[in-house]
Amino acid sequence: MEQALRIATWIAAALLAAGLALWLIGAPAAPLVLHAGLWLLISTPIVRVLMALVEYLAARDWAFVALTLIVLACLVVPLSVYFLSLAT
Amino acid sequence: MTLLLLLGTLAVSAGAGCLGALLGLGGGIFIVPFLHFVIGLPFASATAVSLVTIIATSSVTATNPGQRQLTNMKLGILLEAFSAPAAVASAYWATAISEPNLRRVFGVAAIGIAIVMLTRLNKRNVVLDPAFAIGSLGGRFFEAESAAVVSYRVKRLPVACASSVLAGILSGLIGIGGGIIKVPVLNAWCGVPLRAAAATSAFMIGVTVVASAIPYYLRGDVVPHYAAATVLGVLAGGRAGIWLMPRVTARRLKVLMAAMLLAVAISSLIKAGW
Repeated sequence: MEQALRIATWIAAALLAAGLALWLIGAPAAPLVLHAGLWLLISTPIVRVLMALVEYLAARDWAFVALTLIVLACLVVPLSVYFLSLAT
Repeated sequence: MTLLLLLGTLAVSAGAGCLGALLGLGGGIFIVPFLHFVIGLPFASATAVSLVTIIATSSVTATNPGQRQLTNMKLGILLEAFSAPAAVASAYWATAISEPNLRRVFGVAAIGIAIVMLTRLNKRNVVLDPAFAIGSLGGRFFEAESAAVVSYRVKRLPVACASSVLAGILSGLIGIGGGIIKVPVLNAWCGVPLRAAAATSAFMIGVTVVASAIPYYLRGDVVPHYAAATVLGVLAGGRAGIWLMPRVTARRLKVLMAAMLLAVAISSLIKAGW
């Protein structure tokens, strides 16, 4: 899983490199590729927190389940608020 | 011209990424002043680009196999429960603060951290006795310098929690990961060895900066092509830093970092009109 996150980071970097090259030659696809890379990058720490949550759930360590949920809420709530505001 | 600015950004981010990997910091404290003062991006954009960049440094250092045994996951999650809410709140709050005031916050923060670094050069905080009780939050790891498994326990937890709130606030305001606050505090006051503090910080800052970055990103403050240049720069520099890690001593790193911090802080305060 850690390996997958490493690979995800390098894929994000490859997307950003490709996006940067496209931007320099003025290709219209540049913003799309750049934002895809940025989103992939943003998602990696969220996945690490989810992994910690699964670990503490499995260990029935409720104090740390609660702490991890607080952390997760900080990452997910602003996103949800934004997408809800787009939907309405 | 744009190409030149982007190449300069790549080079500076590589330097920041290298130093960041060595100390478990994202390098934001060097990226923000560069983007704002040298490239001329608005402070909010410099902050936003820096935050996104730090995610990359954190992901690469935190998932490095050598770093993993050093990472204290429980301590990291506990402190993030303080940093992440503070980071989200201050990322929204930042829009209400003027640029000169943000520069002042930045300068003062950098000076404070440099002083802490310089006054705590020789702390190592490790116990060589394998039977040493580490408590519920402590840790053990193999340390090459002692050629043995070393243990530590976390002391003064409230200090660590308070510094995590401060780190979160500064993350949302001035685009740093907060490792620059947590590493010295954990090392100097809370009994965590520098390398364990740095590895744990590499995990924590990734979470803190995502909490700060999302509001900035949703406001459209991230300039994608600059973000691409800084991310690629820190990734390259981060690899160099990981390679250098066994070859430099913690003491020399601290002196180097404190000197750079003071230079950045003073120039930031001058630009803010003191």
